[in-house]
Amino acid sequence: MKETIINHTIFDLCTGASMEIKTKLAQLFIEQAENKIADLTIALKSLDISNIERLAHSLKSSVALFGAQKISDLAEEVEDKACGGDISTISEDHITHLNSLIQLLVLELKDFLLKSEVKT
Amino acid sequence: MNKIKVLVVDDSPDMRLVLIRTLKENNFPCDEAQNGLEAYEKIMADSEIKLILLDLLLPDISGIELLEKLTDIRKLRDFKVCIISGKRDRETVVKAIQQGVNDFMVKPIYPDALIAKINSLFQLGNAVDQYQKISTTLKAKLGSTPIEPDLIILTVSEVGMELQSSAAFEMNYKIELSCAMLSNASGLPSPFHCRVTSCKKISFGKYNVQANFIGVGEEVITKIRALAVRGVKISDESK
Repeated sequence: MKETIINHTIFDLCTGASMEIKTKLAQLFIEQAENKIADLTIALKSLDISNIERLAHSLKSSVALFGAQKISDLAEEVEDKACGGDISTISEDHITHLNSLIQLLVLELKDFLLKSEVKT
Repeated sequence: MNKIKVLVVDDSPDMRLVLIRTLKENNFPCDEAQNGLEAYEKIMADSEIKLILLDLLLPDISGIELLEKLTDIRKLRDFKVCIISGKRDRETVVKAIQQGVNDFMVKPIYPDALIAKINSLFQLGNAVDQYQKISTTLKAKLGSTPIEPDLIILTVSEVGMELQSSAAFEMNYKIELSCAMLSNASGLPSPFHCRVTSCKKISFGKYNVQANFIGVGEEVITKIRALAVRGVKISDESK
């Protein structure tokens, strides 16, 4: 079975399994995904530690609603490094990896929205 | 409609969406703020707010800084603060406890867990009665005799304590956190003794936890009210 980014059990738990709220969350994340990763990249380039910590923390919380554990773990790693003041160990690879996982999540969310439209 | 008005303070629109919807579905009047200063203004302007669900990492001031700003107003008005955060490091938790938060939830937050938490925070009646009964009994027992260390042993049970996962680490962490919060709420003198005596899983993510507190006489009596108002079951097992 193909491994997915979204854990639908967690997604249901976090939203009370409401299609309305799941749809809104998916739309919101798709709208914001590019900005999230762009802001994080800018913060990293400008060595803005507190912003890196906050943005990674916010990303971690957002993706946790979809049960996207891999992204959540990676965002937490970035957050922890920033929190410890050690951003020298946050590499571009971290951000590239985060970005590719987020793109996969966006694709899955778009697919989810399409299927939910078909159902309704 | 519930009378407990809740203010959700979180910079993530998705978290606010989920929390506000959960509250509205359960008939809680609510409002939202996306940063610390907006929250501060709303709290100052609206005396109906009885509970603040507060994220710790906000874009302007931190949740801890907001709590510091609210110190004076909290002396005059009765509202509770429950931290909702993805941050789970010990230092943050300790800082939040020092600022007198009433409870702590780790994201992701499930709707039913949130409602259970609010109900638990505001179920005061029985717990306060329980406190008064124990307080009277203990005072009668102590009388004017010198107070000795380890004189009073309180057994504290937190029923249906929420755990985010059944993983052992999480479990231990939450137990430690719960004990830290209980000890802070009780204002027990340091050093005190707090020992978890049992931890039983009752359903997915929920545990019954029992712990013993051993503290010094009068101080325990006069300060356990904070525990009682949190809805924590307390029984006196002193000899």
